Amino acid sequence: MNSITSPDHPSRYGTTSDIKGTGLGLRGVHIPEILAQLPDIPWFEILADNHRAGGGFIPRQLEAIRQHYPITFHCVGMSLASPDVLDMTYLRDLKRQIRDFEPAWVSDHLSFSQLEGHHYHDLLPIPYTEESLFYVSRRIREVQDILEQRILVENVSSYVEFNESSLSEMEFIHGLLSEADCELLLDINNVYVNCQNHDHDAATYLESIPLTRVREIHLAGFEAFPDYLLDAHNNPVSSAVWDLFRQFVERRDDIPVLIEWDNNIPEFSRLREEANKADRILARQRRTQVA
Amino acid sequence: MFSTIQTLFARSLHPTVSQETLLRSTQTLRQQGGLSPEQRLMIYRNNVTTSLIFALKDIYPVIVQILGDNYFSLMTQDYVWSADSSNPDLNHFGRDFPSYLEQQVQTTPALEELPYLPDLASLECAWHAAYYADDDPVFDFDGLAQVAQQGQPIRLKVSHSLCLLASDYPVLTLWKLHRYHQSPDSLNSVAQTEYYCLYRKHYSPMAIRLNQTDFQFLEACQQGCNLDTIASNENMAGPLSKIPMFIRHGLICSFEPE
Repeated sequence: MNSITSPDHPSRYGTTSDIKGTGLGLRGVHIPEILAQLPDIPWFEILADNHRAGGGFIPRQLEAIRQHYPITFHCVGMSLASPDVLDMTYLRDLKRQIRDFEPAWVSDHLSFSQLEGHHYHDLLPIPYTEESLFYVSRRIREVQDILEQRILVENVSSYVEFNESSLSEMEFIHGLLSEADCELLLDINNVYVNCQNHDHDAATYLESIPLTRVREIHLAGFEAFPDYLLDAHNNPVSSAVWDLFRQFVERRDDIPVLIEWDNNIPEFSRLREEANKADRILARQRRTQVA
Repeated sequence: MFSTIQTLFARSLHPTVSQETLLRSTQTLRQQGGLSPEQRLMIYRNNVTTSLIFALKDIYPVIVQILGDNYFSLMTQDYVWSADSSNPDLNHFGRDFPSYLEQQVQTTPALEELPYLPDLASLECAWHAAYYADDDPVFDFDGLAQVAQQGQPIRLKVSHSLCLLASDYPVLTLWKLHRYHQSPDSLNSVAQTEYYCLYRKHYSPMAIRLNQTDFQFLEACQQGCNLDTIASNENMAGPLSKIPMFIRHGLICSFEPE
């Protein structure tokens, strides 16, 4: 890792935004209620891939949301670690979406979803090596040059580890933040799921996070199977993940938080309860600091 | 080495992967906990399969209603891995499902009594595509008048969202029956082929029945025939007189000089 420079050097991209507090992942089923009641939600994260339609109701609906709320874009289709060439059509479309809706930032995952022209529509894992670090960093820089902005890269959940990996996930992420000049979207549920699935210590993992490069936190629920945890986004945030979140905010409490719930989607009010819980934890931490 | 491992990993997710590739892929994975490397790979295979079936159910809700959720899931398990998956947009996935369903109907005894399923699936696919289609331009009447004055031949262009379907089964009636839980009183077998047109008006997909000549006219426009060629067919007199109506309803959205 000697070739890796400090992750805290200044970026050539500016990233300023009004995104603060705990936001919610916007899901289609909730949009009519949100537009009718305009609830007091600080921001929404948009799954940009679900809003790629060039016309019709989908972009109009997003325009309406955008008029009332700050938004960010979360993507699954950049395939940042794919051996395939970058999908320029996808990136051009994304750039059009960015121009039209002006998200505060754009994020995608440390994974690949495309190989040999086939899209798997899933976040597939990669071995963590110097070679893959160099390759993925270059790809991220290319994407940032195309989009003309720094992006956030999210740590993904995984169910395998590769014999070839010579770096830990966190060593890889440190290297990536430096080499690619990107920022980190820290998914604390993914940290917990991975540590359970691969017998690592989640608290130690969180201790090694480069705090100054975390731009957003994701919280979500997993599904427990007898031999592994599945990052299913179909449940409330687990108590173990809330504990990790409390541990993290002791070190930094000013990072925007996002509640993700994509399957078995509950009533909007239930989502807000999860967001309120995150806000209470953040508020308690700030009171503790003041005291 | 990096891309070799990824290639092995992704290829081994396909259910038709060779034992050799699967073995080579599992050999790149660490032995951990209570699951074998192959079982860990299968978590990913199952994730992909489940999310693609979920996407199909969203596009083909009436087919799911007719076949039942479990049967649909079972029937599409292989399809989702053989389907065209060259588009990163999941809304484009499953466009070739009606063809797959046609094969299934022909080869599966349990589906023999449902010969209309492929046409019904085509209708659902067209509905979904219309919902996500690009917006059309506002029709340029002044430009059309200018071109007409110059006597230039033109092609009429149909809406981005337009899809034309012909079926020997009353699939539009069937679809409405299931989708809107309408009374089955109006369901009759058809004596001759029915012609449909699906498109989006403002924000809502629409499905309407056409007569054969209107269908043929719109089909000719969709195929890029110029208006003079179309007009040379004497059967087209009726549809030609309806061009203003087609424009008003958004079925025809623009024109181009030849």
